[in-house]
Amino acid sequence: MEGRISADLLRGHTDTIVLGILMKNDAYGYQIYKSIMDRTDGLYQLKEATLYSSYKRLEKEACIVAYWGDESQGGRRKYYRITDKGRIQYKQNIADWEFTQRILNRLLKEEID
Amino acid sequence: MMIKKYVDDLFQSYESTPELEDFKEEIMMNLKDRVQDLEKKGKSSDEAFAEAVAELGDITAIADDLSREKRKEIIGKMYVDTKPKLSAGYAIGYTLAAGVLLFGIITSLITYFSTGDNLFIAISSLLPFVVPAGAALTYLGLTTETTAKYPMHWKRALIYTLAVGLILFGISISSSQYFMENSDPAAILGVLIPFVLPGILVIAFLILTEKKRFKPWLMQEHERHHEAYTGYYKDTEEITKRGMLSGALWIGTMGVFLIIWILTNILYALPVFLFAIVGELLIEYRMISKHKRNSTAK
Repeated sequence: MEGRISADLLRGHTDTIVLGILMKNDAYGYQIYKSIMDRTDGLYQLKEATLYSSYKRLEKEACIVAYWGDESQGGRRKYYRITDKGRIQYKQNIADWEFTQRILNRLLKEEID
Repeated sequence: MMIKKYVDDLFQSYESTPELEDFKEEIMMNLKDRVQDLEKKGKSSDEAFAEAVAELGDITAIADDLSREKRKEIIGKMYVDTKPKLSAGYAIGYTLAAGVLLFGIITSLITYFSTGDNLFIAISSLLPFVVPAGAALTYLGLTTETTAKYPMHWKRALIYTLAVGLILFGISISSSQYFMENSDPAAILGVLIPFVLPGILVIAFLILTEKKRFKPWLMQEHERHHEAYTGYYKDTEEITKRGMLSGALWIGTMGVFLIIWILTNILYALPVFLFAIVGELLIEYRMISKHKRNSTAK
């Protein structure tokens, strides 16, 4: 049986997904959006609005900072950079997720064992 | 520039803040990039725009956070329980105004007893004190912040104060005309009207152009009341219309009343009010029947 994506479950991890992308390098909104689209082969339709509220939240928590790029033409872009606090948060979120995953697997797959 | 117009329209109802402008610029650039990408994949520019906008989703929640109106509301809620403190200047102002008023009352009482219980002279001697005290209290009252209302801008309050002062002054000198010199009503109205009429007109204009100064929590309260009221009056527009109709009716009535009084006698003038009351009832009836028609039509 083919699996489908659980949008709710994914949405709960938007912040972590964003932090994960920014771990590698700074990016602006559309780059982040595109990299999520590319990684999921377009299977997951994430609304950009969800991302915007995630940026605002992460900014408020000081996990990321925003700055304007200095593009010479065609308008400036707003870039996001992960902070040290953001890195720690990311690692914590991943650890939390792995733990949750283990527990969930134990609970959900009990029938099969 | 389809994107710019779209984003501008999207945030039309929000008060502009630096943060909101930043956010708009960010959205605009990202939309532009997305549209370009989709066009590269062979979509027409209209298709690309429609798809990019659909992917954007609902951003109003974020805009709410960034718009100042909302922020004010949050601050208002935070401080809703603490009663705003009166500044020292205002406390002194209130005390002085009350003092002048009290002094006037005492003076008029002394006058009353010393002139052999002459009520008219006593009232006349009170009025000169009422004018400055009334004006000062008007100004102070309008510019004082209370738990329910924000203070009025001082310039606007000053105009109110001048108008109130003018009216009080008019009443004061015309009543002393009446009491002291026993002039006839026409002469008194001649003194009264040049002061009172412009004063009333200015105040009417100010009241009609008044912005709400209620604090957010009170606005919510009003909204609840309004909802409870919708069973009776369909909407605020209808209420406004009704208010304006009766306002016009009563101002007109006052005018006719004064004219008949000046030309003939107050006894002939009084019945005008009966017509006004009938008119008021007719307006009310019309509103209710219209409301019924509307609700049966729906």
